[in-house]
Amino acid sequence: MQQTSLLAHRHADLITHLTYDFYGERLATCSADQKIKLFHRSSEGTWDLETEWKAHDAPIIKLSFAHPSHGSLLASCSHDRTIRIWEEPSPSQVAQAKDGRWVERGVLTDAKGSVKAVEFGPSSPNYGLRLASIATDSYLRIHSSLDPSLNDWSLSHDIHIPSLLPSSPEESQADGASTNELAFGGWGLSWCKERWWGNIIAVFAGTSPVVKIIILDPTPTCVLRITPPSTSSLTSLSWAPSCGRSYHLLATGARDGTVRIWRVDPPESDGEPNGRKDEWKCECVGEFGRGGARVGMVDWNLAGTMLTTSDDDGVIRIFKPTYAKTWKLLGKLTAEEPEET
Amino acid sequence: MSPGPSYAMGPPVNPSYSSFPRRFSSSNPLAYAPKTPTNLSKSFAPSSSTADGSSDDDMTGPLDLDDNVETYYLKPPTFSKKTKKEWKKSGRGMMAAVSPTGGEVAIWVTKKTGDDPNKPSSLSDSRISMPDRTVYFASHTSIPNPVVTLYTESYTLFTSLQRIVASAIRLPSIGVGAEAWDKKGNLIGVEGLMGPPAAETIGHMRRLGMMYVEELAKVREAEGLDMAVKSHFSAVFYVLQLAVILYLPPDGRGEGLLGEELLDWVNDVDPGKLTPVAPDNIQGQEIMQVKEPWSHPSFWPYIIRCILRGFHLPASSFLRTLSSHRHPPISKLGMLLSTHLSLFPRSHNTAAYPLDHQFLTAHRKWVGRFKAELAAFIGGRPKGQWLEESLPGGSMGETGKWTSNERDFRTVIDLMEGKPERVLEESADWREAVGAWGILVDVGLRRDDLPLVTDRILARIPADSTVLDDNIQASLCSGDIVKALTSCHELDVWLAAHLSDIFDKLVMIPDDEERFDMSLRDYFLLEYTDLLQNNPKHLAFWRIIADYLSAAGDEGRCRLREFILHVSLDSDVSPSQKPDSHSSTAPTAQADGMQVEEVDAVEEHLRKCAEIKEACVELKLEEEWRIISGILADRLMRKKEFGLAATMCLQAEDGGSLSRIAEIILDTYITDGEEEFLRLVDTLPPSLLNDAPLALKGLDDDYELNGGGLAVSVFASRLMFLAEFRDYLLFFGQGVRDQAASRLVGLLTSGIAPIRFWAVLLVEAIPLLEDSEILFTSNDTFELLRVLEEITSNSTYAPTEYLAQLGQLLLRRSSDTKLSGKPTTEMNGSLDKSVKGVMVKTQGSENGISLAIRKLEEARLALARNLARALVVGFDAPF
Repeated sequence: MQQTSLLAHRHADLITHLTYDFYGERLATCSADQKIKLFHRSSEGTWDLETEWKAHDAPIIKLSFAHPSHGSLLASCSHDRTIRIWEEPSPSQVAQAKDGRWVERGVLTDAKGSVKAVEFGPSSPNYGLRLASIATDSYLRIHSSLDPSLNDWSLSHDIHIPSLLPSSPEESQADGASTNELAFGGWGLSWCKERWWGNIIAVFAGTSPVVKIIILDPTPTCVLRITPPSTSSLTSLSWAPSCGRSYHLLATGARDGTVRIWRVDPPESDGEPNGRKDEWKCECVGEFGRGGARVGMVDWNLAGTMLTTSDDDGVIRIFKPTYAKTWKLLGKLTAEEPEET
Repeated sequence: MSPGPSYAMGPPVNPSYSSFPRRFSSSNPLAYAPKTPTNLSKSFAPSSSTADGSSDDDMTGPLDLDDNVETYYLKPPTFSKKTKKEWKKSGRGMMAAVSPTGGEVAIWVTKKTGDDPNKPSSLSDSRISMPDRTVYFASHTSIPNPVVTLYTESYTLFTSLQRIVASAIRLPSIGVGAEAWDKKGNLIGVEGLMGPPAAETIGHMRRLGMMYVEELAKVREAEGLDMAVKSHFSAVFYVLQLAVILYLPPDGRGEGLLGEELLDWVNDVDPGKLTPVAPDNIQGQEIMQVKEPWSHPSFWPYIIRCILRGFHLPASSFLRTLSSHRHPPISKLGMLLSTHLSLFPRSHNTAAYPLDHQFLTAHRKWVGRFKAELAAFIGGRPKGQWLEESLPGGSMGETGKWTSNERDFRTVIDLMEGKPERVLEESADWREAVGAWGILVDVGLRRDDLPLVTDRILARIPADSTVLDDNIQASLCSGDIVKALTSCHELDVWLAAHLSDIFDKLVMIPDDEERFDMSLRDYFLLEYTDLLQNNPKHLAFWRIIADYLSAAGDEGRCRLREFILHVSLDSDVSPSQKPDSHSSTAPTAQADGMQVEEVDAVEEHLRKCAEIKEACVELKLEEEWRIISGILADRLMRKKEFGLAATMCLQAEDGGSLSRIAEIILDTYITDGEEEFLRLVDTLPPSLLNDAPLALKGLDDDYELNGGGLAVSVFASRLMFLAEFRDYLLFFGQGVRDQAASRLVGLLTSGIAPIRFWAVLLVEAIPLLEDSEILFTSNDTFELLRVLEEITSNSTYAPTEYLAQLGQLLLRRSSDTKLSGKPTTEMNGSLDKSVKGVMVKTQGSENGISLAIRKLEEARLALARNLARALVVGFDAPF
């Protein structure tokens, strides 16, 4: 590992989330200062500020870029309980506006709590552009826009995760949890990245450590519950690009510091006329860092061959599988000052 | 929240060598500590410092995962060991995100979720420090320029290698080898195709292998490269060189003698201190400068080393110095050995031995003669008394003083006679023994014999398990390919990829698909593409990555499909968007300048796209190219480059977007007027407008198979409508009113006009209907009346569908008349359609529709009047 550069982001508060666009050419940051900033990679490899704007009325929590097939779109979610959809202005609009700030294309206000995660679905011609979000009310909401001008967003699914069957009694009860209990909860989601699987999403909500894999169409169905051996609630989730593998990889990060890598096998033959329908299966293929500091984020590279995790001890770890498909720690970075020797 | 453990931190790893691409040693628990530690080899050793015992009281849980990996320290540090608790308590945490390209990791300080997840979290101290304001970027590797050259040059060689081997596979011809093909023409019988390549192909492979080696040599010699990197590539160089020598024989069959070639390699990889051919052969000179060289302590060791290393002439001249030894038997024996050693047959002397068997015979004869003369010299004396001087009269002379020399002589003699035990005893390491073996012990050594020989040698002189390249070389010599490749992977990812490719082509890697998803070669190739993808210079490698992925089996292909989509569509120079330059100039003044700038950008853009397209075609990624061209079309549309966008849509076979373009252009007629409409239509490639119906007909047939015929015919008609409507406008503009009228009728009767445009067309017809000449026949007028009837009746249910566009047009015209002082706004189209559209829509879609209804009444009146005139005056009058 080596450090390549630094960026002074000049947000007035800490950054809450950062995301790269599809090509890795653009960087979007959001902050507790309610602003979104966009940076563009220069030919020298440094990040130059492209534009910035105040996007919400409360700290922003997460950002997500849409697949470029749907144009240049960014979604943001916030403690102000809204999701906003932003579109890059066309060159002629840039000429009109003074700062190149992105144009608001939608404000989604269905959530009854802070919206903790937002993510555009993979490009899917059948379902148009889809946007998934989850709020502290534990509802997974899927908004979609079939209109190419993106002025019309409708709520196509509204799923209460704890009560989506199959679920354990504890989960369903978590619905009425007090703020105290919610304090230890987490909410997150991740789409299956493959286009032909495009209507599948993984979600966790509240204090439950379970990740639910949900097929959205025609009616949302939970096809698999990924239940870890511990009860620590989750902080992050990421579905790896499957790159043609016959199985899927998901990574989860938990409050107790555990990073788990799950191998999820879809049914081999679904819809066989006679014979039992095969089921989704999952298996934990890697578990690291139990008892460590709370995991901040888990994130995959493009091929799903490298997992990057971060935690509240300021340590970044990178994992990679061997030929025999066992996951190994490859390297780590730390924000701590090196000790004098 | 419980205090987390402190992952033991070691001292910082010097980035100069931690940054270099290689496998982290964590994948293998073996600790590689080299004999002479270099910077690089140090980094192969696990950082023992991580177990420095700085056990934090809260260190719980299985943290063994942090052992044996290097830690990189971000600068500036966010906290120190002392301030860590405080930092964590303040509510801060860390997050990291990965770029989908280049493997860049962005790291930032963030806030932990507070007690109430519905409330924004806050920090206990409001002081925002410098690290709080910083995003750190890190990368797995960095590739120095000479290595970039290696990667790009070896790519060409790699692709040639694939081509050569592929073209050498001769498929059985259909009908002849009937069992090889099934009825559908699929190749089923591949027996005999899967064997190792023919000798000729191996010859080609050898040439390419040598070229790989040459490229590595360039890195070793490159200027300004870190010593550690150079020594790393030296190791890679020797491994690859050995592999080429052993497995890609010059004759392609491996029937030739191996000895000399192998010895040359040994001498090259490990020259030792005493290569007599080296100009700085200080030791040799030093020995020779002594008056009685044999009295020098290194005299015998030097000779023995020379013999083992095949430097027989120098050894011979050293032995010759013994001729001046005052003890006659020594002088005599020295001369004897010197003479014979100088005559020792060597297989590389092709002038004397053009054929292998000639050399072998010569060697046999030489041994026979040597032994005979030696026996004559010894004269039956028992061991220990060889150097006894038989003085006349039977006295013993000074014998006792020299007997000790006999041991050294015997060593030399044993080596010359090729006694295996002696070679094993005298060799400094296994490599030296292997080198000497083919010269001294088994002069007929061939490639097939080497593994047995090596195993015998290694049993006596094992390879140094702590030196990675030593192990790889030993594995190569003993024919353990899998072990060699696995170790190569730890040494260098490039080496593992290219070497496993060669071995795979030689069918020397056992198949273990039961246990593993993919072949070892594919895995190593993918590891190499990972390296190429995950470094800051990845943009320079995109085409290379694509080809390697394509060559790496099914998983490679699947990764390629994903990878190619993420290749930046901007050119490498990345013309960064400059919103300032657009906004700084006045709308009217900027028109020209903008145009030029954009055209350049577009051309640059398209150059990269052309490259991507070429790659997609070559690598058979049609589906991906469709997606990419769809994205491009979208981008071009946003830039109002409708012509190029339309071309891209056609390539993307994206009828939907093509009709969207047609609709946008048509909408400009409503929102911006005739001039802008005509300009945009003219940006469409004429061929598209002319040939589109035909080209799309072709698509149509394809689509009909998939049941998509409807969509395609819709967009085909949209384009035709654009062309026809343009013609109408031009005729009208030029005053050819009868032609204009007939076009208008054609548009409405042929069914290509979109419904929402019907009302607009009818209103367009009003001035023509009111013309002093009768331009519409009664039949035409009936047709138009029928259309009008349909609009009025249907618009009761769907007013927007039928009337909104007309309403919009009328509203704009009325507002334009009001703002007639500023006609330019309309003409240069600087207001985006959607913005203006929305504006007009919100201002009064209701208003617009009622306007439209009134206007249609006007049209009805005009139609009625025209009908009357046509019936009365017209040539088709029934009267």
